[in-house]
Amino acid sequence: MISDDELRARLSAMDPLPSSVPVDPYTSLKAQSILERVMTTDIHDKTPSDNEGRSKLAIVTAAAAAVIALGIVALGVTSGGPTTSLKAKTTLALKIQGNGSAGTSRSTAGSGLSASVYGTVASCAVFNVSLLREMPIAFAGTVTAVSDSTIPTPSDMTVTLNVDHWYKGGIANVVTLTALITHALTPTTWTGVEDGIRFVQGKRYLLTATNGTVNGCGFSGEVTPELEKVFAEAFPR
Amino acid sequence: MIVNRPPVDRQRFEALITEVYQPLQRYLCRRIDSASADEVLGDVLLVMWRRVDDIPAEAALAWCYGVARGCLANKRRGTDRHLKLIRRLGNEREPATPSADPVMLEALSRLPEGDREVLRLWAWEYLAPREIAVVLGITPNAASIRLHRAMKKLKTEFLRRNESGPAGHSMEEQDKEEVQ
Repeated sequence: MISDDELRARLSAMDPLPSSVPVDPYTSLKAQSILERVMTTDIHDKTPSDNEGRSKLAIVTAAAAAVIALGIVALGVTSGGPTTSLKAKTTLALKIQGNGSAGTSRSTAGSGLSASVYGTVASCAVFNVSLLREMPIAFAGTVTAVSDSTIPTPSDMTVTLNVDHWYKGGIANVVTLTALITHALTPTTWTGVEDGIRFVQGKRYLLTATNGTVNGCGFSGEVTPELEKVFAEAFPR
Repeated sequence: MIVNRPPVDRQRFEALITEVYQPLQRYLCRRIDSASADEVLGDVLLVMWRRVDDIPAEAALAWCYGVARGCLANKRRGTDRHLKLIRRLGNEREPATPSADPVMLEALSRLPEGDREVLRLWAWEYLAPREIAVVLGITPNAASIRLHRAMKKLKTEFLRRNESGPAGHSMEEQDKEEVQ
C-alpha cells in the first residue's frame, strides 16, 4: 500500500502551479495597482464577494484551542463502582502554542507525552486509525457537568463525564477532565473548548488520552457517526 | 487617500500582504483561469482590507485561503465561464505539463469534489489538518478525519486502478449509493 508521504509527493507532482513556476511578487505593478484600489475602498462598502457568511466559529475555536491545555487528572470511580488503576498518578498539561511552533509540555510527575501524536500540537498529527489504535485510553461518555467558567482557578475548570463504554484502558464510571488555562485566555472566557472540542452538558463524546492528556487532532471529539465508525474500527469488541 | 483605516491597521495589512500575496495567487491560479484569478484576488484582498482585525495571527494564510474559497464560490455562482474550464480533476486547472502519473490522476478524478479539495489543500498548499480546518471552517477534528478518509479513498481507488485498470464505480457514485 502506498504510504502517506508517497501519496503527498505524487499529488504534489501533479500541482499545476508548482513553486518552480514564478508568480507576481507583491511589489509588481499589477499587485500595486490592485492594492491601491483595495486600500482606497471604503471599508463599510460591502461587496457580494465578501465572505461575511463564513462562520467565525472555527477561527475563534482555533484561537481558543491554542491556549487551553486539558489534562485528565482524575480517572476514578465516583459512583460506587470498583476502584480503577487509572486514578491520576500523573498530572500532565500540554501548553498549546498558537503560532505554529512546537508545543511545550509540563509534568508534575515527570511523565512525558507521546510526541508522535500530540507533542507538536500546532502541526496536529494527521489522523489515522493505526495511531488511534495505539491510544492507551479510549472511552465514550456523556458530559454531566462543566464547571463554572467564572471561577478564576485553573484547577476548578473541569468537565465531568459519565462513561458508558470503555474501548480501552479503564473501567471507571466517571471521568473528570481538568483544563489548564494559560496566560492568553482568562478563565472568564473559558468555554470548555479544547482543540476544537466544545464540551457541552448532555452531549456525548468519544475521547482518547495519552499519558493523562486528552488528545485532539481527530483522536477525540463529540460523537458523530464518522467518529464512532473509526473508533469501532480501531477498537473492535 | 486611505479610507477608514488607522495607520496601525494599514501596517498590519501591508505586512500580511507580503506574506500571503503569492500563496494566494497560486491558490487561485490552481483552481481557475488566470484572468478570473486576478479578479478574485482583488476580491480577497478587499475582504482582508475590510476585516484586517478579524485575521488570526496564528493562521493568517489559512484564513485568507478560506476567504479565497468563498470568493471563488461566489465567482463561480456568478458566471458559468468556469464550467468550460473544468477538467477531469474537477475545478482545478490542468497540470502545467502532461501528468506523468496518469493512474493517480485517474484515481483522484474518481473522488468526490470535497475529498479532492481536502487533498489539494494538503498536497498543493501543503497545509496541516489544523490549517485545513481554518480554510474549510470546520473543527480540526473534522478536518483531520476528513483528510484521513480522503487519503484512504484515494489509495483504494489508486490500488484498484493500478491493479486492474479502469473499472467500476467512482467513489462519488459509491457515496451516492451509500446514501440511498
